[in-house]
Amino acid sequence: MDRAGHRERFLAFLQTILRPGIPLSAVEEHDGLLRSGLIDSLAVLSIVDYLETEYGIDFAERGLDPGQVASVSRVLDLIERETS
Amino acid sequence: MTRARWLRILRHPHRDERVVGWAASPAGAAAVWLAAAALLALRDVRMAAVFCPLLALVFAFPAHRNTILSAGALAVLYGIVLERQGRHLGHLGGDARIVVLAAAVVVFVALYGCVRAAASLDRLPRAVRRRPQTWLHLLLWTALAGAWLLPAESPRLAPNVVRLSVACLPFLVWRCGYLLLAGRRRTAAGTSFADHFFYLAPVHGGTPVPYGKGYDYLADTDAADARARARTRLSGLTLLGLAWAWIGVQGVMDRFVFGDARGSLGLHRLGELVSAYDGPVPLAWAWLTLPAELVSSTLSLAIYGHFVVGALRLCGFAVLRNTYKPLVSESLVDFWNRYYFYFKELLAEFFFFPVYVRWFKRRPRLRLLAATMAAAWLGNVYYHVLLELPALARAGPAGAWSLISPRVFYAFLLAIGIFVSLVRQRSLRAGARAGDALRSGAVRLRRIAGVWLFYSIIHIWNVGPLELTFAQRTRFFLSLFGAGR
Repeated sequence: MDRAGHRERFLAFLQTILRPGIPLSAVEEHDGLLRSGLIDSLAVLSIVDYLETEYGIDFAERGLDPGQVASVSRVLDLIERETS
Repeated sequence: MTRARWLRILRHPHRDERVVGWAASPAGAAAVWLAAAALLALRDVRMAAVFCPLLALVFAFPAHRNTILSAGALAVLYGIVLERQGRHLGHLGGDARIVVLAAAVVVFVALYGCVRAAASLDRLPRAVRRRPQTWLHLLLWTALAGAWLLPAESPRLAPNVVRLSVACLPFLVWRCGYLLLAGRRRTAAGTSFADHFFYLAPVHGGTPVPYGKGYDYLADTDAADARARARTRLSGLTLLGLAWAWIGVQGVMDRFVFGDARGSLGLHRLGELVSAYDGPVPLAWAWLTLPAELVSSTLSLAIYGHFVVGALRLCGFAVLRNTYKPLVSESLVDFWNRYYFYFKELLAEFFFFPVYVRWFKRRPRLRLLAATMAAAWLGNVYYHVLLELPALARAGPAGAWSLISPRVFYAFLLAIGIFVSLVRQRSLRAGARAGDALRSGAVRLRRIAGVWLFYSIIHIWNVGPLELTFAQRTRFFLSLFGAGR
């Protein structure tokens, strides 16, 4: 799957964890998801669960840097790095 | 300009493009500096005397900011050592200055070694690479044990220098932890010592909790250009102003809620009530003290954090506030996130995430429980053990348990509360989203009241001096329900 495909899947997932009242169209690729209040800190765990389940990414070995999942573009970078 | 716009600018000057443009000009920068210097100096003249001249240089030469702040960090490091000498080794007499200077040099060399280790973590042995935080704390405890074995009072220079240097480590260890995280993430590679030293010995102020975390977060929030810097400085200035507003509110509370003067509610501080639980305080007054103390402690934390974060923002780092409207939180986990953000971040990064990504992956609820207990309970207690180590060491094993047991209980209740809140938030997420818009004011108020009740009750085992025992605190708690009155 290419970056656009990963993006589509991730945005579909993101829709389920966005704070209430925020439309998906409000999310820019480089927006800080937590910093701009688009998601809450609990949602970071949901993103981790999603990446583990959907892409088999193992954070145990590399450690979890919340910065890696701080924006859509960074999540996509991580997916590309880990699945290439 | 309309009155509404003036008010908007006063509240959020960094959101008004014309104000930001003016703040980016030389005259605007000078005005921001003057206002910041006044607000900081009124609060702490000594801190301002070190920080404000450096800030002027940072404003003038932003490209050299880290180097300028690192020069100030030398003075801060000396101050840290001096403060610990006064607190733990006050009997050094005429040799004190030499011991302090030598200890400052030792700590500086240790920090330099830590920066070099983080920058070239890949070249260290595999065991260290895999678990740098474990090795950091092993080193810390080895140093603490070594210092503890040295004679308490020695006429010789070396033992005193070692003991004093080691006494500084609990302040620095979490900052070094963030440094090693950057090493593990390979973001520290290619950086200079000055890129790290300024947050290891922070000239912007702080406690053992690293406000502004470490290299990664600071680099992430660094203002990219002159306009962004001006915006960040203005937001820092606003925060200093807000801190002063909260100081005013706290003064009003001290006068009309806690004071003995005419017209005051005359509430006692919670710590005083706990130490004299069967005193002549009516039950209703004892209950009223709980939320009053919660508000007061929140104000204190907000004031302190706003000064530190405000100073960091003035330096060009758009970091988040330490305290952000926790008293309107509708869940325990939200309060915890907003009350003491950088302590929560410390517990999350060093305890929660490592457990969460390693253990019980196939059992989601157990996974969440283990990570929450590791952070909010064990991590919380460990942090406070390090903080209170001199008092605990003096008290001996039984005395140390007596001193720390209220904190162990407090952190346990906190962790359970956060876990239940996390599970509830998770399972209700979909339902809550649908019903969020419909949620009535009364429901919100009830939720907020529940959060206040929980945190003000568990605060009983956290408030006041360390010497207040678990039994005293528990007796006070029971007295709220009439027991022992």
